[in-house]
Amino acid sequence: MLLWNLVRKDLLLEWKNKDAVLAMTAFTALVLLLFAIAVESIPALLRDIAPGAVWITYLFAAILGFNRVAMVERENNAMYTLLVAPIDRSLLFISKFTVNFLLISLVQVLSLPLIMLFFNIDIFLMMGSLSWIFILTTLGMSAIGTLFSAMLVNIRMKDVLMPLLTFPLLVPLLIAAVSLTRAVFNGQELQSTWVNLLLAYDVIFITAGTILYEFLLEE
Amino acid sequence: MTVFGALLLLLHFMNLMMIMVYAPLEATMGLIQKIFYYHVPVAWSGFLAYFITFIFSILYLVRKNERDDRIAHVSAELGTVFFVLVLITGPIWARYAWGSYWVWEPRLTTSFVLFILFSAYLLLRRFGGHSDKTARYASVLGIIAFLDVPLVYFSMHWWAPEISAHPRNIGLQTEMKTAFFISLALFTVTFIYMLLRRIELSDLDSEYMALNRNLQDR
Repeated sequence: MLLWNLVRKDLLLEWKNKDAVLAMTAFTALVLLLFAIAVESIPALLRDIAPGAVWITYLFAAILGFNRVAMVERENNAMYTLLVAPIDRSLLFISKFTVNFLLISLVQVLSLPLIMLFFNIDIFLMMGSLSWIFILTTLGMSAIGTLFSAMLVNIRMKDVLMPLLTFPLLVPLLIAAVSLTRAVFNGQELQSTWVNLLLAYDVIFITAGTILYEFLLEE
Repeated sequence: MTVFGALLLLLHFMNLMMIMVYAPLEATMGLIQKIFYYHVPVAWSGFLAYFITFIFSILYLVRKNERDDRIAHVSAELGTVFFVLVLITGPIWARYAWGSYWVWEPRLTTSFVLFILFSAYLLLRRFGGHSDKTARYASVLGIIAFLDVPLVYFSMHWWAPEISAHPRNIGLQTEMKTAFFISLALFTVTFIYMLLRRIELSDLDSEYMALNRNLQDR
């Protein structure tokens, strides 16, 4: 219940101004377009780069969202209010993590028609297996993103540090997601090793985030 | 300490003689194989350095001792220096052994990702400035970065199972083994020596800053 209130607060704020989702969606559309231009929209090439292009785009778009969601509490010293409230610190992590996950998932859903149009892939016919890949990958991305956006809120040059810190950490996740997505696009069977890697990644970093988050908040 | 450093320098000259003269030429690769006697010990020391950062990051978060944080910091610094050497010696050897400077191979890629991560760690330290906050942030990163290592390694391993190009179970001759283990021991001792000197320097630095603060308060 407490968790739902925390999540609801952030979702309500986002619903009122829609800043993060609009920024992320516009960015996603733009980068997907740029990828199409970069390979001169040659159909065979486009199909080849689609899995990588899609995940790199989501990665960059997610960074924008993470920053917005972490900045919410900076106004009116709201973070202080949250910290003095009798809430377990790990619950704060779980709530921010949930909000990030939901927002990125929403942007992903909104971007599906674009992927279908630009890359000429019948993505809606593949949603059965694809949605699992999207969910598992976005869980890991959100865990890392929530942790590091909270860390960097008060640090100078945070715009540079955010991708610099998170992208290398996300390398294994990206490789697994791209491999699985390629398999789905080509109509192949999914390799269980990659699914296991995604699961392991999610479990490790959601746990680590829950434990370590409180060290980022102490004032 | 200084005498010991000079002794280490002397030992490194002897190590070079061991590698170049005592250890026989490898049959197929010839002279280029000699890089192995440097490359592997340096890589091992680099990993050791990052492992020490990991341990002292945990220690700092648990007991909040400011010195633990400084040890984690200087060890990361040294590790990064060692990894620069790894990433220089590796491609020189790979050019002859694999035919190209860079192959997307598990150990190589893991080393590179680690190097990037800890460079970012040092940047976080720089942009964060000297404060408890930065120390806590860096500790969290030090822990997370180390947790990521096995995941990166296995993901690269599964990504391209056919290119696992680092030599395994290489049949070394006895003289080669002797030279290798001497080099490994020497580099490990050298790393520990450098780390201790660096900690000493960091202690002095923190003492100086404390004195300076006292002076300004007056």
